[in-house]
Amino acid sequence: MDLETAFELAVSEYGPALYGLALAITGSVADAEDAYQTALEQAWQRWGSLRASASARPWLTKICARTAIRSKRRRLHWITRQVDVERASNLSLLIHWDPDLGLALDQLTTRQRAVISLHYGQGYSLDEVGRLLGISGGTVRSHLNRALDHLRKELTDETRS
Amino acid sequence: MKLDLDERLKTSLEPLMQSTPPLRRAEVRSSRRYRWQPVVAAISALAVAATVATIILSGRLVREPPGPGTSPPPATGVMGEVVLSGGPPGSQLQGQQVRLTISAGGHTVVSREVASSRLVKVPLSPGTYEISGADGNAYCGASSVQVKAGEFASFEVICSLR
Repeated sequence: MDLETAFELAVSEYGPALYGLALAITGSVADAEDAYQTALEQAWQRWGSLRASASARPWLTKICARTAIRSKRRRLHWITRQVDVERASNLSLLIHWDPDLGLALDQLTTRQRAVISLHYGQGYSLDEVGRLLGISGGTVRSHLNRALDHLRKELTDETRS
Repeated sequence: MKLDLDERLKTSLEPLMQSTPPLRRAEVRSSRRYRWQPVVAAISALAVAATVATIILSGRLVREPPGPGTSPPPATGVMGEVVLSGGPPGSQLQGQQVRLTISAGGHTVVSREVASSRLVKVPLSPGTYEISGADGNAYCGASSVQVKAGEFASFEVICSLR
């Protein structure tokens, strides 16, 4: 199988999970599309360096997660430079089947959302999440605990009100 | 029963990870820089704004309990029409506004004005829904629809003018 065919197969298999991850991290369709396209561009440029024995999924996930985290900074730069457009950033619309949770997730930091999405949305262990994001296991646990504390508080307040 | 937070995060995020990705840019393959990025980004921003406006106008932002099931996969919901019949001879029935209400377990999931004899498509989670119509000048029936994952179940609501 040639490189291009293997890449196409990997994208068709893992594309939905990668795009979903970008949606969960950025909270915005426009930013997620941008991050997804950029991640695939980077992945294709480095595709030849992926060892045949290595699994493509975590490798692609790592590129996509890191690209999505960086996209916020790039977006702000782009908006300042080009036009004054506020892109929709609203997880309560994207997770419309649980809008309260979406609203609470929206208030987390980008990195906290990345940890939550990889762990709960994609089933990676906390150590694996650390390797994917390039941070230590302790830092992942710290992000996760803070995020969960915040979500519990927000969702409890929501229930009370 | 209230789900604990771990379970709630899983059931809410896992469906998001099955989202349909956008078509890839042709330039991905050739590794060339995409020169039209600002134009595409501007169009995307407008598309997002239009989508958000559509969602708001269609009443989907109303905080009502979602239907049965917690993970609506893409392309799942109901599709059909409200048919007006009867009335005085020569009545213009097509296109008249009728209120369509979709409920599940006694809770209203969607309620909106629709034009009669026009195809209505509403995305919903899998489950059983009661679909009814309401019009001040007509008696409207109701129907129960079973929505399965990955399908749009068809419905028809008949309203007879008094």
